[in-house]
Amino acid sequence: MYLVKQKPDEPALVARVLQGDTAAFEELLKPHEAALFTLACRMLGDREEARDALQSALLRAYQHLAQFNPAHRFFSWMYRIVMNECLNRRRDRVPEDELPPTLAASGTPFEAAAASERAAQVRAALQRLSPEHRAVVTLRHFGGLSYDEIADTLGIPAKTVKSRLYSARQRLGELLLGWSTES
Amino acid sequence: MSARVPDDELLHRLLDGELTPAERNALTERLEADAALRARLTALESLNRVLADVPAEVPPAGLLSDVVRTIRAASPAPRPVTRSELETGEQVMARKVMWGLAAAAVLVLAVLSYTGWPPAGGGTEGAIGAARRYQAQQIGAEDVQLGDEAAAQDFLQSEVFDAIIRDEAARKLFADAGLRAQLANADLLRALADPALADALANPELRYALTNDVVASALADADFARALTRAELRLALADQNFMLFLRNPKIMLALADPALAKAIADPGLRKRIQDADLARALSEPAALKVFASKELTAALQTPELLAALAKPDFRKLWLQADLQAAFADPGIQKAFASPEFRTVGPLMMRGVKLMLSSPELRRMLNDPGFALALRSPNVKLALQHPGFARALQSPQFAARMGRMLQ
Repeated sequence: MYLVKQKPDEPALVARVLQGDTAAFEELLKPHEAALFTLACRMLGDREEARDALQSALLRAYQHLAQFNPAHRFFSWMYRIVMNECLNRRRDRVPEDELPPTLAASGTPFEAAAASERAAQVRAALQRLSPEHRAVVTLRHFGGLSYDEIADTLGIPAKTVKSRLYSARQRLGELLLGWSTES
Repeated sequence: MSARVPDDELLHRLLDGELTPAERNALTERLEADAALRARLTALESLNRVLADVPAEVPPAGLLSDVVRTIRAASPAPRPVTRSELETGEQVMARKVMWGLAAAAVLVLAVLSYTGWPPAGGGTEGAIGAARRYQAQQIGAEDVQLGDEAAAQDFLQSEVFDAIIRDEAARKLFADAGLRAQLANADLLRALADPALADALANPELRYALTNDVVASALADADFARALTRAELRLALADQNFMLFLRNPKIMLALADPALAKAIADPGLRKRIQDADLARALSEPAALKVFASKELTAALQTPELLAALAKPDFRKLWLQADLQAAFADPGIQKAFASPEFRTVGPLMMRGVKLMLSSPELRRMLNDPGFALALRSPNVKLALQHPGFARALQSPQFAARMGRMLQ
């Protein structure tokens, strides 16, 4: 996971941005850039589209920064904006590409497979999930968020987070590790 | 791998670090005895490893700087907010809250000063009666005689005004002299046209909170307003542990003790407050259990809360027993935590005391009809019309509205 911790000076940076200091905006976002870009990539499965989505999300964050509640964590607020942007872009998307053989079904030990191939398979498998399932998996495994934080980010009950996460993992297990289909 | 076993949820939560210590211990014991359960755990761990092995993505060079360049290049230069004075985010939030209350204050004052609304003892009957009265009224030519006030004349001849006089909620609001006087303020007009305010007042929990005498008194207090600008207080309000802590009257009695107050101001409080001897000294035996509770311990380990408790104003605020009881109410807590409460549009500060000093006004806030009127699209249209403020100053306008509602 690529957890980003809140920086202690973030409230001050937010205040500077609200005063019109655009350099402070870059300073505020820089520590989160990689994590947010990773989230967008996992959600969208395409670097270029992820770049577009993240840039749109960042502009939206700038425009609505006055609405950010400093009592909350900045990265959670940003995750929500990026997630919404990605979900809006891909809600109707249906994956077309054939998924490569599962890691387990290939008969090849994980250790023998190239890391890039494994990563590619995971990325492809993620795109086979529904956007809702992909979102919880992304936030949990690549964002390091707790159930409650995921619920807060996605605006859904924690109970729903759990059920989606368990179903999504089952599906990923089937796709990546050859688990039998759940009855 | 077989299909999901009944204990799957426990295994997921174990790997996610979401089990309580007791659940973890119980599951560990079962895992030692159950091979199928261990196999399932191993499978889930394998999936976790596969996911964890995927490296983070490296952002393309210039992604963030491109965004900043776009922001800078925009014309006119977009700023998230324009503010004449330097404020922290916390102060901004607190100011919004108070401004929102001010907006509510003047509106409620105006509505209540309108005779008989809401009608005593009745919703439906009053509404039907008002509708019938409206049907009996016709617009006369004299109603638009406003001398040389062209803007007001323009408004009275507009479709907006036509819509207002056909809208019972709007008529009720604008027929009131007090409201019209308040609406002559351009800032107030702008604020009332802000959907955020209407949305905020549509929140029944917020209205409920505002109708509480103790909360209202506190909100009308300048010290409280200043306290709201402190992050510590808001954090405390949002801290469920702290709320649990305050809900116990024994705790409050203990806090009223000067010795505890002094202890709270002491930097070494954390250690001392967990000391049973201190707790025993500060409260009666029945309160000891509470002092030793995990909730209180957790609350007192919050640096922000400790800092807040060290401030005399904060302690004074929470020492008011009625206020503690009010804030222990889940509805009030929820209202304070709601985004609507925190994002109501900007307005004047001066209306706050006005609204909160009157029990009638606070009761009005709890009337769904008030929020309904404010959400009326015709009311919003009127508030945004440039000639409306001028029309409000017209005696003819008042007379017209008065006749319609008689």
